[in-house]
Parts: sequence; C-alpha cells; structure tokens
Amino acid sequence: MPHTAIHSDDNKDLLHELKQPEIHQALTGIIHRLPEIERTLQSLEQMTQFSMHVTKDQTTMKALEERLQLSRVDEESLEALIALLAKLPTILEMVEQIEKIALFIKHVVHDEQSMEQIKTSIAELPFVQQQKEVKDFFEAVQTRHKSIEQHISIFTIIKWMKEPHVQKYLKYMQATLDVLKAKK
Amino acid sequence: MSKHYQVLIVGGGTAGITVAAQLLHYSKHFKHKIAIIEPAEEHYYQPLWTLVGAGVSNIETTKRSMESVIPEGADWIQEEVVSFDPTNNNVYTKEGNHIQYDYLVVAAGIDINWRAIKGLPETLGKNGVCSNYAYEHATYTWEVIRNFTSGNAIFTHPNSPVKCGGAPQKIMYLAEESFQKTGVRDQANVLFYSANPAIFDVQKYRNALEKVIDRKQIQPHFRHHLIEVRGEEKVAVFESLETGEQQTVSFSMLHVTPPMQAPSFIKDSPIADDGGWVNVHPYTLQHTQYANIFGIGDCSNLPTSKTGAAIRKQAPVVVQNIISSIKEKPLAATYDGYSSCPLVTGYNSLILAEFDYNKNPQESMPFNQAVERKSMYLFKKDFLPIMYWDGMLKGIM
Ligand SMILES: Cc1cc2nc3c(=O)[nH]c(=O)nc-3n(C[C@H](O)[C@H](O)[C@H](O)COP(=O)(O)OP(=O)(O)OC[C@H]3O[C@@H](n4cnc5c(N)ncnc54)[C@H](O)[C@@H]3O)c2cc1C
Repeated sequence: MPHTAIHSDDNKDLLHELKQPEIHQALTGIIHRLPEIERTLQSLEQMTQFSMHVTKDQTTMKALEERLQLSRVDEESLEALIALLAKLPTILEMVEQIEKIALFIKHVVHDEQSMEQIKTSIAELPFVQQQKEVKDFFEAVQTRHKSIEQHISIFTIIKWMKEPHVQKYLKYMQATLDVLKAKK
Repeated sequence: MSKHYQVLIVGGGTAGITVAAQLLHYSKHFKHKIAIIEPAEEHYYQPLWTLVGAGVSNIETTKRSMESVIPEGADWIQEEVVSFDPTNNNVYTKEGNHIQYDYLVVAAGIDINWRAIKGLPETLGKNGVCSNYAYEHATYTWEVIRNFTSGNAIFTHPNSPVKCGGAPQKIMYLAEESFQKTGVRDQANVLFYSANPAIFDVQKYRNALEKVIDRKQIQPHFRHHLIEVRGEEKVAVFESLETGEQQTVSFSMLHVTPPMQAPSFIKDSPIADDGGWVNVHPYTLQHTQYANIFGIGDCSNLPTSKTGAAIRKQAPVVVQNIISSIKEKPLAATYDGYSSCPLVTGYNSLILAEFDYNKNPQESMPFNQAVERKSMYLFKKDFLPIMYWDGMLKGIM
C-alpha cells in the first residue's frame, strides 16, 4: 500500500536522523537534563495552580482590589507610566546629553592647561577689561586724593566748572531736570 | 610579532583619537580591544595655528603629548604603518610587525608636499617666506607680519586638496588688519594667488567674502598657483592654470599654503581610490570594497572640505556603523558631507561657514552666519580649543 510505504520511508528517515552524531548528542543531553526539566515543569504547574486559586478566592481578590484602590497607583498613574515608557528614548537622549555636558565640565576642570586658557581668555574679554579700566581709574583717584594738600575754596569750584568734563555732566544734569519738568 | 585587536585605528590625529574615545564611551566592552597605531610623540590642535601666525595664540597651547590624548582603555602602538593586507585583515609596520584586526579605521591625515614647489624647502622660515601649515613654522608668520613695512604681501592657495580650505585666506585678512594697526597698510599690496576659480565655493559665503576682499582692497588672482620661490631674490613664480603662462612677482612677505596629497603608504595600497585616498562610501564611510574597513578625515576620499569640524560629524557615523556591523545589523548611520570653516576676517570678526555635500549652508547658530561677528571670533579663539581637548578628544562632543 502506498500509504504504508510512505510510513516506512518516514521511519527510515527518522532512523537515519537519529544516527546523526549531533542529534544523538542533543538527545543524550536532553535525557541527562530530564529531572531538571521535570522540576521546572512542576514549579510552572504549581504557579499556574496558585494563580487560579488566588483569582477564585474572592476574599483575597477583594483585599487586593482594596489595596490597589488605596495605593496611589490609579488609572492615571498607569497611563502616565505608559506615556513615560513611550518617551524613554527621548529621555535617554536627554540624560545622555546631560551626562556628556557633565563629563565635559569634569574634563575641563581637571585639565590644567584648559583652565589656564580660560583664565587668560576671561581677562581678555572686553567687559572684564572695561571693569579693569574702571578699577584702575578709581585706584588712581584714590592715590591722587591722598596727595592733594591744597585747600578747596569756592574759587577752586568755579574753576572746576570750566572743565569740559564737568561741563558735560552739568549739561546732562540740566537735560535731566528739563525732562523731569516736562514730565510733570 | 603579531597582535590582534577588534578595532584597529591607523593614526592618532583628530579623527583617530575621536573614534577611539567615542567607542570607549559607548561601551566598556571595547577596553583594550582597540589599538591606535601612531608613530608621533605629539598631538596637535592645528586650527589654532592660524591665530598663532597672527600673534594672538601661543604655539605651545596647540601641542600635547600623544600619551595624554590616547583614551584610557585604548592601546597605543607607537609604530608607523607601511602597508595594508585587507584580504587577511592585517597591517604591517615599519618596525617589522603586523597587527590583525576585525575592523580597521584609517585616519592617517594628509601629507604636505613642500618639495612640490621649487626652492621652497630651502627658504621656508627665512627671507619673509612663511607658512601656518606646520607647527615649527607658524610662529615665523607672526614675525614676518609684525616686521612688515612695505611691498607685496602675497598669500597662496595651491592646486591640490588642502586641509581647511579657509586657512590660506584667514591669515591674509589678519595680516591686512595688522598692517592697518601698525600704520603700514598704505605701503602694502595684499595679493591672493589661488588655484580656485573664486574666493569660496559656497555661494552665500562667497558673497560675504567678496565684500571683505573689496573692503580690504585685496587683489585676487584666481586660477594661479605657486610653482617656485627664489628666497634670496624675494621672488615668487606663479603659473596660470588656464594658459600655462608664468608670472614672476617680487614680495616682502610670502605666506605659502603648500600642495598636499594622500599619504603614500595609502596611495600605494589596495584600499586607495585612483587619487590615492581611502575609498569610502560617502554616506556610510565604509570602504567600498572591504566591509570591515572604514575611512575618516583628511585621508578619505569624501567629497567635502577637509576639516576637524567635518570629522566631528564623521566620527559618530563610523562608530555607529562599526557597532552595527559587530551586531550584524544593517549600517544605519549616515554622514551628509557636513563641514565647517570658521573664516576669520579680522582680529575681532569671523564668518562661520557651515555647509554639506550639496554646498548648501547648514548653519547651527540662530543667526545669519555670513555676517562677520566678534562673538564667533571669541568662540573660535577661546571656546573651540577647550571643546577640542576636553570634549571631542574625550568622545563626548
Ligand atoms: C593651519 C591650519 C588651520 C586649520 N584650521 C581649521 C579650522 O579652523 N577648523 C577646522 O575644523 N579644521 C581646521 N584645520 C584642519 C584640521 O586640523 C584637520 O582637518 C584635522 O586635524 C584632520 O584630522 P585627521 O585625523 O584626518 O588628520 P591629523 O589630525 O593630521 O592626524 C593624522 C595622524 O596620522 C598619523 N600618521 C600619519 N602617517 C601614519 C602612518 N604611516 N602610520 C600611523 N600613523 C600615521 C600622523 O602622525 C597624525 O597624528 C586646519 C589645519 C591647519 C593646518
């Protein structure tokens, strides 16, 4: 019968396969590990049975429900968690950026040559230089003031008023007073 | 002696160190599975040589020991590569060793060919002949500019690919401003001899730079290149690339940008294209023939401007694609040809040119970068070097 012929062919193939050394080896391995596999299956079965018991046990389920309701994990939190999970790649990217910036700062701070360079550069910045000019100016004034022994009279003040710098500031004062008057 | 590394990098310059550092930053797995073959004792931050030549930066700050920049976790093989055997995943060194690899990154830079100009090696560094294209010569440029009193101040751009296409003209703008400051500008003719057909090949920045040239009264001579220098006579010989006609011009100062070429050990190897450069795919940076080889930086045949800024964008692509290859995934990272050139137009001004393969501007600042800005000048002078040493070379920028 053709049907039987096919079967006997299949058996031949099977026998041939079983004779292959790698199949033989794999089967031996499985046989050796059978007790371990059995144990795993048993614990899986136990876990399934346990879950079934728990879901059937109304009292335990009710208590669990109440606990969940009491806990701050509500639907909103779960939705937020899911939304957060979806955003994880972007968050990871941001954290990586922050980490890179932090590492960069760390490297700069530990790099003596770079720190030296920063100090020089800052000293060269225009506003720092301006501040330095102002500082120098006040220091010069301070020193001069100490050396002036002459008595300041009303005539000295009149002489001051002719000074172009003083004139300039007096004009500013005049202009300010004019603007203030106009605003009133 | 034979060693084996998962990733072997040829060259410890800008590209080689950046790739090694980024791989190590990506995963600790690469610790001591990466080696950098680099014969030099020192590593240089070359972009600052322009400002050294202009007297505003100290040459010493552009140099650090190679040892200090080799990332922790990468092995340094202080030898010189002489040949490649890509079929057997081997590179050979002058010291007689060969090193095996799973992945190879070729990052050996570009060779400067001083000898291509007759008389140049003999007179460079004296007779007013200077060049910012070497650590040992950049300080002499400032000496020449500082002492200039009158005559022709000539600046050249050769008929070959160069690293940083803007550097030949940046020093010219700075010198011109210095002449103004020292009151000798009226006695000076500032001449620019360039093999290129225009001042810059990205239209937006070309327009801006043409105005700078007009304002500074610089005389451009395009499609001309320097072929000879007679130092003692203070004469330079130029050739027209269109007619072949030669022109002899006297000078008081001559700033030379030398012709450059692919390193000969690459040129003569199976990994080179017809021009001698490492033959890589323009988007993935993977070798066109050998899938486990990647090329990066000045030695590659990428059709874009050869700059450190370009390498900053190429390195993550090489790193990602090596990682994808290791994971047996398709190469997903691509490079769009980004390059950038901070065109210093004076002591306090800079045009930050940024563009891609299509020569389209690709600006990263929220303002028009074709406008000369002081902020950008300070960015180049003070911030970029720190970003280089402590960010890029650490694999985090
Ligand atoms: C004057 C000047 C101004 C510049 N201005 C700017 C700028 O403003 N902005 C900018 O982005 N870029 C600028 N650049 C360009 C920038 O410096 C380079 O593009 C960049 O350094 C190239 O990096 P690389 O790793 O390809 O080559 P490199 O940094 O040159 O490194 C190549 C390394 O390979 C090593 N090597 C060579 N042969 C072998 C071998 N046989 N075996 C092993 N190792 C070998 C070398 O010793 C070297 O350390 C400027 C360059 C110069 C000279």
